[in-house]
Amino acid sequence: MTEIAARAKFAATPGIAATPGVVATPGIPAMPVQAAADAQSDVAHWQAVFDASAALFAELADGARMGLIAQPGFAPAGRRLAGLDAAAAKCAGLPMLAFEATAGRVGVRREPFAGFGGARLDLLFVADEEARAELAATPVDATLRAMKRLIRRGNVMFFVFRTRHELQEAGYEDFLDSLGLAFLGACR
Amino acid sequence: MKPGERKLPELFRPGRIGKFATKNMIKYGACCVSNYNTRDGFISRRELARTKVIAGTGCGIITNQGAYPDPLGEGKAYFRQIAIYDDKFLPQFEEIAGYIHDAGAVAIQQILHAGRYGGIDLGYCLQPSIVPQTLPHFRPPREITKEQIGAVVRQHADAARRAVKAGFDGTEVTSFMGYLLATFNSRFTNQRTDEYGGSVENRGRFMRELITAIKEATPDNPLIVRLNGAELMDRWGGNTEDECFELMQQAVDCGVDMISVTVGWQEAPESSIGRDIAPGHWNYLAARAKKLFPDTLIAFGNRLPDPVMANECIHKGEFDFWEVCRPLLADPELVHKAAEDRLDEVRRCVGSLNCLSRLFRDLPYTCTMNPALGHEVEPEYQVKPAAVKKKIMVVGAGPAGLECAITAAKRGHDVIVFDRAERIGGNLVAYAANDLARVDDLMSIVRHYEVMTKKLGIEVRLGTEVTPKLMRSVLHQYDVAVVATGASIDRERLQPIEGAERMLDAIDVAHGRVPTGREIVVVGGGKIGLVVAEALAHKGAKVTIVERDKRIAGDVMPSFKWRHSAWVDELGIETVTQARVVKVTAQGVHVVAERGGEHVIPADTVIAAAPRRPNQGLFHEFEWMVDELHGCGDALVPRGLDAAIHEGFRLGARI
Repeated sequence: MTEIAARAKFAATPGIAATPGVVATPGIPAMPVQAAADAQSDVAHWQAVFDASAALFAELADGARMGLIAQPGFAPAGRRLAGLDAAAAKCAGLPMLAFEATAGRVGVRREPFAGFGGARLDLLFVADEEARAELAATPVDATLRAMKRLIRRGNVMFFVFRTRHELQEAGYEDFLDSLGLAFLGACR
Repeated sequence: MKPGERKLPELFRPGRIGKFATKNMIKYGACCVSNYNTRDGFISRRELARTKVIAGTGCGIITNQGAYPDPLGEGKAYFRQIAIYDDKFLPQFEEIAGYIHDAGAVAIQQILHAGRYGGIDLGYCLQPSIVPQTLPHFRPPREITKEQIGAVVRQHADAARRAVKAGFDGTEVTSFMGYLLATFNSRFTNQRTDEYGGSVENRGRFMRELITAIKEATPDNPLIVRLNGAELMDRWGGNTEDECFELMQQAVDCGVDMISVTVGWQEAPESSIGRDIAPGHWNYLAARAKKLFPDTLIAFGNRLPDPVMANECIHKGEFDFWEVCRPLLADPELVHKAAEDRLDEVRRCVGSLNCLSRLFRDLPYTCTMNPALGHEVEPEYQVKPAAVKKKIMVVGAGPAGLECAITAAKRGHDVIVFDRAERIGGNLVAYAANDLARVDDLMSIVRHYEVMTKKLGIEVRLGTEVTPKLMRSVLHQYDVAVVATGASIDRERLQPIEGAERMLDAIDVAHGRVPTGREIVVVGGGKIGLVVAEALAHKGAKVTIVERDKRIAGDVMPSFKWRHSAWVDELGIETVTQARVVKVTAQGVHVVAERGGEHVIPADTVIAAAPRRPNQGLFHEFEWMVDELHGCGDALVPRGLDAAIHEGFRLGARI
């Protein structure tokens, strides 16, 4: 059993309920009502994105997991994002959107980012302030295309935690290809 | 002095590095490893044959490809990279140093610990801090300990000592691309809180220790450090250009003999050496280095393929040595041709990055423009005088036909080329005209063929369509016929589409033979469809690509797929994949998705860019008319430029 498949066994944690004003995810610091509402709309937005692009994720293995960190003020000094682990430690439970494949559907929920080592992720996207605003303002059917553009522009950082073969086995090839990401080295 | 040397005096004047005199100001750069060697780091016969050719390129300094310095292979970036961690490797390094010295050049051995891109056989890589990969090809990171840092420094010093023992005059370490040294220097990957991280001073500590150790190990031999003038990673938290130059200052203060200024990391989100970057684009980085460090030798060559431009840069004091690699892979005679004022004969590197595309698939590198690269050890790739002189007719003046004609003519055959078009180049001319990257790169291939056909006395009969009737009237004149008539859009396979006759041919569109409208559907998302679609969208048309496969760009070289993908987005080209066209009307295209459902895409112009079929008609017609009949290039199987050039060459070398 691959690590990704094994993860599916304990990946049944339900997503947070869509109740405005309530911060239900353990480990995430309390948020103002507006921020929590934004968080809920983020979950709903991304769930709609994945549902609308279901064909792109149809081959994802159960337990395949991606993360998106798009927190206001998280990218200090412009786009100095490389200190993500240190930043995550300081923020102690930085909110992250987790995208996880289960039974042919990618579910979206909020959970605390547990650092590079603890987040159990295959891919991680980190959006700066400009990207966060642009993604939030983009219609569902144009979000992945906006993501692709933002990665190219350097507004969204992209990390991989699995090897190429593991990602292929987990069914990521179509998605990565759609984002225009080099699956191999990219000496340009 | 040779005539070209008088024209390029700065390039061809003698120079010096350390105690060693150089015959000119040209350095062959170890741009990447060949992957020709054994899996355990030994140099192969294939590599030796290639290196002998490189040694003879005429450069004043030759840098041998990077060898990893550690026995575990943590520094090993490529499966067949050479190693220098033990004396058991010495004999073949001695052989290479000998080749370089025999050619009158200064021999430098690069020591390459790949760091973030290393550990290819191990399943992990070493970095100053754990910053995950952005490219899935590479291995998950482990943080290097202080003890390991000390060991790596000692391994570099030992490797340098070993290189000098093998006969090399000096060594080079590299901070290019994101290798180990780069990861210490860069804020992106160096998050350490000890004395090796934090400030630029601290981040540069590893480099200073490395330089000091190597200088102590080989005090009489020059040391070159390759350092980024720009990482192109600043948007992701890497170094700014100012920080890059602060690090160069540290290297200078440590007494390094030469800085080779480089550009970009493998994972940088923008181009540094591809065809979409104009030659000379990065020269300002070298100029800044030379201005800041006037007493240190500066070498430079990123996206600077032109010796005339390099000569001018040296004249202006922008750098000291022109560092060149890929252009010499494309044409190992480049420097000699420049010296002899034969630059018009140079086969230019067109920046296809075929070499790197293959390298990252763990394959030996090859070159689009130089079919013999990597095959120097094989007699089949050597252009030797023909045992029997033959009269050869080549039908088709595209890359395959002309490559064959030129190679055969060099061997002494009498060659005539026929083409029904009024100029040579075949469909490459159309492809180049629509290329959004750099038209001049691809057109340089056509110009090369124009020059070489003239210089070799090859008769080219343009505007002459070869038919069976013509063939019957001339067949007694030829010993050999070569059919290199390329490929075309297979309209027969489009017939099941209702209204297929309304579809234009992508090749006709690319040649500008037919007008197009403002709302266009291109059927076929391979490289032909993409190039046509991009060019039309660039001119303002609304373009949609319909592709049967899951993805577009299926036949595009891996290192250029991202470029098409980006253009498709930037130009607002819609793509409809896993769909087939069932009907074409005056209003548009009826498309059926693989999973069912039909819809109409409005269009005033529909262009067929697939499928393709080989133009083999003449092949069958000529079969009983001539003693020896060959086909090559797309006329056999439609593929593209690489296959055309390589097959044409191989055929010309064996007729």
